[in-house]
Amino acid sequence: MAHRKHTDVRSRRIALIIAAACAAVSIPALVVLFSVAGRSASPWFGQYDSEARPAYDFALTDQNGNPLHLHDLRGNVVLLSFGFTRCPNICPTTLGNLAAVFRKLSPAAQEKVKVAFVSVDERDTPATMKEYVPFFHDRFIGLTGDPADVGATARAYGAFFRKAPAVGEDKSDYMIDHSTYTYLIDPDGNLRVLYRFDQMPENARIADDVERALGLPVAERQPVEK
Amino acid sequence: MSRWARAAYFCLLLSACTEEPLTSIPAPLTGRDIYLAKCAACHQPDGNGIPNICPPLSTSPRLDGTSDEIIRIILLGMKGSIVREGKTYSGIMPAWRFDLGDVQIAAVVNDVYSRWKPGSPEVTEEQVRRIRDETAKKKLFPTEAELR
Repeated sequence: MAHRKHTDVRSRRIALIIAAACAAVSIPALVVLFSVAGRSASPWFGQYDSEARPAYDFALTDQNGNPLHLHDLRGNVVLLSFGFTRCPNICPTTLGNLAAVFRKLSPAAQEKVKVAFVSVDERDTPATMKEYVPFFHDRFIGLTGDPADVGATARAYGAFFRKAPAVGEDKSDYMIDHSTYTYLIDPDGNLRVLYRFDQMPENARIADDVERALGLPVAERQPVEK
Repeated sequence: MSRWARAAYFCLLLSACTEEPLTSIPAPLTGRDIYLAKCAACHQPDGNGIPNICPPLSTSPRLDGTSDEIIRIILLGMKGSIVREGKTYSGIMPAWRFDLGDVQIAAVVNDVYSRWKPGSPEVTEEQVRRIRDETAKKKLFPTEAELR
């Protein structure tokens, strides 16, 4: 009898632990589900944050060797991404798509948009960035910095990166695993919209978001022929 | 199983519920789907490219050459200036070897041929695999001269 009581207590404890774990998984999932459902009426294509959260005011160096803080770009929409110039496909694809977004904007909107690419690779220098960013658009900004400043910036935006082990004998020839989000910062310096990598080919819809963030009328754009 | 354990098991089942079964296999992408997702930002949906950045694909002389060369460029990427019809283009082509499989690369090349060079020989998965193996130790982002 005592043994059965002990077993019941133990299984009850296990059940409570499992139930707590389930709640830990289910409740955030439901929150996400509801926020997605609530967002379905949202005009924003990316994941929009209605709450004004000041974006981290990074202090980095541009491709010309000049210091650049986020607050220097106040009044513009900033499209920010993280990566490295030796990235085989994610970074060039993201920047190619951002260039496509930029080209879809009216000249007036282009004047108010800054596309900034932060390198998380300590091998990248302002000189490397000066060669790299014009591959996509000559008005893009390539940012490097002290590893501590780059790390702080990445952490503040929730970006992740880590050096992957070198495959060959040359230990300096390595890749960097990194997250692939693009961040839209509004003209007041608030982090407003987040884009997943798979959303980036939707250039026209991102351009709509940029115009919306600038308070400009959203232009009518031709759908892409399939 | 006690009442609590049954309740917890039910809860576990609920938390595993998603809109779509996790085992569902996504619909296969066509060559055009891949082109629009991976290539069109630079080459453009109509293949006309971008001035100064990316030369037109629709009229590229590469479409007259061997498909091996096109596959090699897709796998390794490319950078450095190239000149087409007197105009210089200085963009960068991503290296897709880590992201696209042999079937996908064959599909996208065949789609490009079907649009802008119909009648070209079909590219096969085996052909892409062979070139993938041949280029496994090549450096990424060669220049046009290094590709030759």
